[in-house]
Amino acid sequence: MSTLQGVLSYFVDPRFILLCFAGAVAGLFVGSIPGLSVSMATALLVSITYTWSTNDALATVMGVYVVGVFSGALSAILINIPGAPSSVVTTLDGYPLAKRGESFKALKYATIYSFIGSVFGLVVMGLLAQPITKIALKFQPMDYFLLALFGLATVGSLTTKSFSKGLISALIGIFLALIGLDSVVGTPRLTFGIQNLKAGVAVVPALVGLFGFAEVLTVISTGASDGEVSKIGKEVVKLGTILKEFWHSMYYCVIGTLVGALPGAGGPVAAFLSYSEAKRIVKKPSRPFGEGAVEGIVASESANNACIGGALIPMLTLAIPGDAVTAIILSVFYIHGLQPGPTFLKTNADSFYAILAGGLISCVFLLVLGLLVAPRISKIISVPKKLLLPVVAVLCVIGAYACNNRIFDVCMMLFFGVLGFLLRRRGYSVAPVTLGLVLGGMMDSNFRRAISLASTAANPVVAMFGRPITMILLVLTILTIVTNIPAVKRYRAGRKAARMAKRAG
Amino acid sequence: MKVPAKTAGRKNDSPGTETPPARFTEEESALHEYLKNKSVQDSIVALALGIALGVYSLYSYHSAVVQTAWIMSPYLFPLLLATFAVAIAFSLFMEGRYQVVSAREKEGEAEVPAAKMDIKKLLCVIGLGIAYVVLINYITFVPATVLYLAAMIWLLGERRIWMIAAISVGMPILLYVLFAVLLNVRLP
Repeated sequence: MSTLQGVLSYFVDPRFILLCFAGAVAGLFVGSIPGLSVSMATALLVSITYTWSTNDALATVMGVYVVGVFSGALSAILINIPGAPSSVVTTLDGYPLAKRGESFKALKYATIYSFIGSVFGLVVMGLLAQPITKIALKFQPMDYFLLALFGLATVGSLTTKSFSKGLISALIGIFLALIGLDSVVGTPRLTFGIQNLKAGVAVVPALVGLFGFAEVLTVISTGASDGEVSKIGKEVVKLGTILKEFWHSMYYCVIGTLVGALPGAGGPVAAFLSYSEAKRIVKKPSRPFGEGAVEGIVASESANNACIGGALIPMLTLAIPGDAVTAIILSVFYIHGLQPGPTFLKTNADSFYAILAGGLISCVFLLVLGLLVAPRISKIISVPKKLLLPVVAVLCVIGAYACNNRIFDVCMMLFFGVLGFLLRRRGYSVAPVTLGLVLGGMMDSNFRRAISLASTAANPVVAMFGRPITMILLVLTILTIVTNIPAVKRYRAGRKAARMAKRAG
Repeated sequence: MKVPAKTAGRKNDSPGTETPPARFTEEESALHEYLKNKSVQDSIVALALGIALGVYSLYSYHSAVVQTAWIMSPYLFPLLLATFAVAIAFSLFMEGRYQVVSAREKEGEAEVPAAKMDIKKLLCVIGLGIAYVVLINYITFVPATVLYLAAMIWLLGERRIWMIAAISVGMPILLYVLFAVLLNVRLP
């Protein structure tokens, strides 16, 4: 069966479509309410869909993911508080437009370009997954280790201002992943005598704590107020006018997909990059950037939604998640006994088609919900936090318990909630912790396998690093680490400034 | 705090000036300045944890009942992690040092204050979370959730009794029906 046939078979499956719709509706609300994030909703869903079939779970998760990333723009435009980190850039022009009474126009631009971005990313994923898999089949244990290290170094450099803090977050994640029975020797490791830790740190309660309960604590501790919702008018915006930005949006989609495919980077980075590119290439914006330019919304929304398809590429072909949400989706696979990686497309083609079809069907729901429901959602966005947060905390408890039916997991969720809160408070991002937690076990086993394979070779160093793929990955990883060292960064910035001064002088 | 002999001895090196006490105060304030920096504080914690993990890994390796070669040992990777942690702690310390030095150079410029935190409320929320988990064990999910929601909503500032009652009673029942009955998810 070809990819197209496989994907299309889901388009006529009413149950699959219904589950995508349910996920899309959930994503619309979760993404648009500040304080609830897509990562949190996906983490909760993983535990709830534990007993479902894989395809049912994937349909719902894709619905939440695709529409949730888009709906962050709703609160960004209407109340100037991004519903998701990837919508931060949308606030720059979306809210000024809403203040001028043009929120309907802003929402329409955001919806249509989120749709274009999502479809673009998913189509690229469908086209590139096969060729990348062919390359991935040649990967050896050391390559996997280096690729994961490269991902962690990238996420460390992109998610926080301080590279060292990003790396510390990643180390915390890896450390937590090492707890439990060792996969090679089979002895308990780093369990400190706690029986319940022998099975390791369960990923789902940890993620629910890091993204759900930590968010509750953060919002409560800072006493963030409920935003005032802008009124929505009903001005007529012609589709032809909106699509004038189509070709520019293709450029932003390429940026979004590439950034998404980079292990560790995600929507916020893609949106920032595209926005700065938009400022460079759009010579005559409808209004100055930052004062309500629709071109800014186009750049941000098309790029952050194109990230979805991009982020799924390394997750499916290499088992290296592109961002926090795909790290959580990866755990859906593990829970259902599937192993993403180079052989995934061959052995589990059906799940691949389900992801692609789920994504594309959700794009259609994105368009429908965005145009019809989003303008009427303002009352839900303004649900008071004092009523919303306690319910979220209860959902976190349900989510943590549902996976293994252990109260110990609920305790772990509380622990991770406090840990996530403290990390955020000190300026650390929790995204590298997530990636470290998901990738740590794989890094450990591949590293030891690579060393033991090399130890039997005549020249161990050549055996470990002598292959072209390994050398490329090694150079990339070293370059990422070295160029992000603060002293090196300052030196380069100083040289650049000196060059500019020389040119000006 | 006593003045170190080394500093006191230099008192005569520059007659007529009161450098020693001033110098000491300067050193003390410099140390204080460093310790106040968040990156420096974190680097100390990272260093301590890195060393602890390293020592733990070495001890566990040598005291293991079944001895394996280092390359196959479960403690090889934790040891590597500990080494990384120490290196990153150093890097973070240098970042902190740079921040302190550049803050001195930009003296007078107002530092961006961190967002204020309501610690009492935060501790109450964590305490309520723990109490909720304990309660679930004794009185099961729905009654425990009713009490938890009522307490949390009150704590977060809602004072309308009907609203508190409606949500704290209605929501657990709704969640029970949705998860336990419709979605077949086991509740605690």
